[in-house]
Amino acid sequence: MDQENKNPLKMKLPKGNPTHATLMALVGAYLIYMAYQMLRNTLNGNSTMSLTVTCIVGGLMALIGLGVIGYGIAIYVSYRKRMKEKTSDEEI
Amino acid sequence: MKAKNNDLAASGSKLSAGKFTGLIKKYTMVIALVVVFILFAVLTEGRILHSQNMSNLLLQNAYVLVMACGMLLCILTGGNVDLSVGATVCLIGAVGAQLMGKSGLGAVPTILICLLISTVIGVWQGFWIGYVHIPPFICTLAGMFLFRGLGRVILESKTVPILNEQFLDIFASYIKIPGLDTGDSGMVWSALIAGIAVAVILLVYTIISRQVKIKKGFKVPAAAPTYAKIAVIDALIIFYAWKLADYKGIPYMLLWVLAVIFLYAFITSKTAFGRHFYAVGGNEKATKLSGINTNKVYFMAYTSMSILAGLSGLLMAARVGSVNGDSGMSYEMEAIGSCFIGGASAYGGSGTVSGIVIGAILLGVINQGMSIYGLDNNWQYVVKGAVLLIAVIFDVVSNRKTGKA
Repeated sequence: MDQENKNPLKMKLPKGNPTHATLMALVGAYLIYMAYQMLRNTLNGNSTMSLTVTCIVGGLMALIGLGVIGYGIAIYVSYRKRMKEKTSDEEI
Repeated sequence: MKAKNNDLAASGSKLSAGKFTGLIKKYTMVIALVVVFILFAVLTEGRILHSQNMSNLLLQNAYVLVMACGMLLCILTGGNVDLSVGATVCLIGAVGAQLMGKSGLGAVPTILICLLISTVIGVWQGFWIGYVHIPPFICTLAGMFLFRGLGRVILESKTVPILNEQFLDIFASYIKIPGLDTGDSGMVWSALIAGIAVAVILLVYTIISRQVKIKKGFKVPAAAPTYAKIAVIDALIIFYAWKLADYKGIPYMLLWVLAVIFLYAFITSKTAFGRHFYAVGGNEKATKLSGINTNKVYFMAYTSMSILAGLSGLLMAARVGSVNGDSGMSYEMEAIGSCFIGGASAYGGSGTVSGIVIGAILLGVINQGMSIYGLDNNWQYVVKGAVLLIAVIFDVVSNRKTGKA
């Protein structure tokens, strides 16, 4: 507890299961896919959005998508950590 | 005495506030659907309420409603999803198009062969997931690439049109009763009559089932809210039937969708087998120990999903009138989105057919509203991204609050 208070970078991992992690990764991947589609539409002339706005908005969406994928990875890491702790408790 | 009265008044108002909050929580998605619908009705200056648009709302989202029913069973087993449904839609559409186009096979044999192939796909995936215990994500991800590739091979990388009139009649035409619907009024009276009949049957069923429960001594909810709810539902049914009657009548697609919805609602709420899906999602170990064959439950979930994906493929092919290598792209995301918006839990064990219907309609209203409003393609992606982001934020916040594992 004291360690966590001293180190602000040590964040509490979110709880969840592998399926939850997978869903978050899917959502993140879909956000990145939509950002790619936006850029494609603008370059093909299928959208009235300017290239600058597309890059800014699409870039933001892609970054958020990466963040959501990271959140999914954090859920999976947390799950593996909990399972490891559970197994070691059972062995004791 | 005065203090006692004040306390009673305070507790009374607390109860009312609690009841109101409970009502809001119970009907959150319905309220969201109403709000979004009103928003788009205002933005489009009422165009979303035009009869053609109301009819198209169903036709454009029929495949989502059908697939969401199947996806619900997969999600109930533990938050698992099937990523191959979009690819299955493409493959089945491709098979159907080529059978009718190149081979000249009739509509009915083609439909039966397509549904048989989708059953084989479901058995294949269900076997690996249910009995070999390959993670559903891995198995269905592989299926996504495999079936999409097969679909493109069958289509020979071309767009194949569907010209079989009988096939289009079975899925994409409208009910017309000779003598009743062939007048000069322009109204398709059979649609309105059917809507009124359904509303009356629903009201009578509610009254009778409530009386039977009271007679048997079961606790029933208060009469006023029950009948008020039925009155609202009946009004919506009659309104929608009137809109359909004003356009081309009841589409056959509506019958297919309703058949799937009622079947899955019955299975999940009224059968022991349907409850097994909830049990597996709630606690798989306990379910297994209680004697339920959990392997079979997983197997059936993915088999039924693929069959419904096949049916969606046929509905999509009839609606669009052609199939190409990109058909069905992102359909799995829409089906998954409908389920989670409709209240299915990412951990499994909860979710209802009525919830996913609301979820699918909400997504459909957002998509159609944006199209009618004339929103640019890219801005539509931004709106969809914002909706997904709201769902993720909600997930993060509730994760922190409950710390559910």
